[in-house]
Amino acid sequence: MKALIGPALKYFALFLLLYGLLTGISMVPAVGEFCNRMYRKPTEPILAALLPKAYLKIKAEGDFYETLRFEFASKAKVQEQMAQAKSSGQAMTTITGLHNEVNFQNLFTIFFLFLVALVLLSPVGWKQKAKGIVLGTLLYYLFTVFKLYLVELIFFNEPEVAIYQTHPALLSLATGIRYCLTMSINVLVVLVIWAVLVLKRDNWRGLLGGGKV
Amino acid sequence: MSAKKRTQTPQKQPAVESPPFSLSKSVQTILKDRHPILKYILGFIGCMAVFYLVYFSSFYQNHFEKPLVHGQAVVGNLLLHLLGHDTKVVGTAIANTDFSVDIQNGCDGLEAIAILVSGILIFPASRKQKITGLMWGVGVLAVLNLLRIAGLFLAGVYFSKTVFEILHVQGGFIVFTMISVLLLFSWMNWVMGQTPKPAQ
Repeated sequence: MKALIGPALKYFALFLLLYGLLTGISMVPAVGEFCNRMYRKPTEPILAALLPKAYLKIKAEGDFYETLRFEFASKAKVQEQMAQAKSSGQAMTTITGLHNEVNFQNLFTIFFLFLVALVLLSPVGWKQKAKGIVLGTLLYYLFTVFKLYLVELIFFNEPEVAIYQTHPALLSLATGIRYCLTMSINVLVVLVIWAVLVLKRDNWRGLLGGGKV
Repeated sequence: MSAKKRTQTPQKQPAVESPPFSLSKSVQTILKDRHPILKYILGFIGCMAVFYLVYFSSFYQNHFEKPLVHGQAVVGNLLLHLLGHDTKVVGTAIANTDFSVDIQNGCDGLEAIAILVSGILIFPASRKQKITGLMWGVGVLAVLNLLRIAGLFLAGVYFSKTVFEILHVQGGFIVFTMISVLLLFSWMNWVMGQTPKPAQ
């Protein structure tokens, strides 16, 4: 066992270095803005399609662009107000929307960087690493979109928002799943994605520099 | 788990046309390459699901969660006293006049421990090897978590809120989980080193 402590500590030191470096880079405002923008670009139409009863807009906030701000309004209410404005002869009407916020780093960045560090330190070729990062990012991204969908669906069902009136059984299922999707589950999801994409029967022992089987 | 290196030297084959791409064959190759790993991952997910069923149950939260985190707060407080800090335990929090850190569900280190325990339980090893791994692994993680709690308190006292948050999230979720994974891989390598290699 003692012979394994050295490689494990070496791996751990490399991991800390790489993960620390990636975290540092991600905190540069320009990088944070880029990541946030790249995340929002496909997410907005996906969520809009999943939640068709709302007009939805996602914006970035914070010094490090660490927050996703969801601005929304009920389509039914907007149309109703527009019809009222039209009937009363008004050319324009003001519609007040609502918003909620999600921490982008705790949702995506931290765990995405964890995945990247894991894949880069894996005992596989560069081609496989690139494949692992691309596929892994896609899978983890889809997981976070599912999480966001639940967050917004639950929020849209709140009495003061009331854009959706989901069946109580379905809503409690969504609330239950959302309650279980903690940050630790994010870590677990990343670990499983990494293991599925990168580890094979003949390479896992190479992770700690052990004998390849 | 196969433990034999391929030693066959490649022989010259007559040039043949590469077969057309077949999705089912690709999937078969992927599954063959990863068969024992996928089986292991499925078992691991199953064990973690059982853990979370218990962890999120009202039974655990009503009867075990508070006493456990309170106990961790007491030991963390003791460590801080040894370092010369005048702190006290208030419920599940460690506090002094300047700062307080509340240990909540998720900061108890149990999820990282569950990763290690699940990984050990489903790995093909002898009972003795599993017990050794569980005792060492759980012991190391439990001690490290107490140090983490005391360390987070000190980070809160001496550094900014941003630094505290980074250490809390990155240190708590990522680094601590990584330690658990590394302990698991070290143990698995140790087991494989002890187990005679099976003939193919």
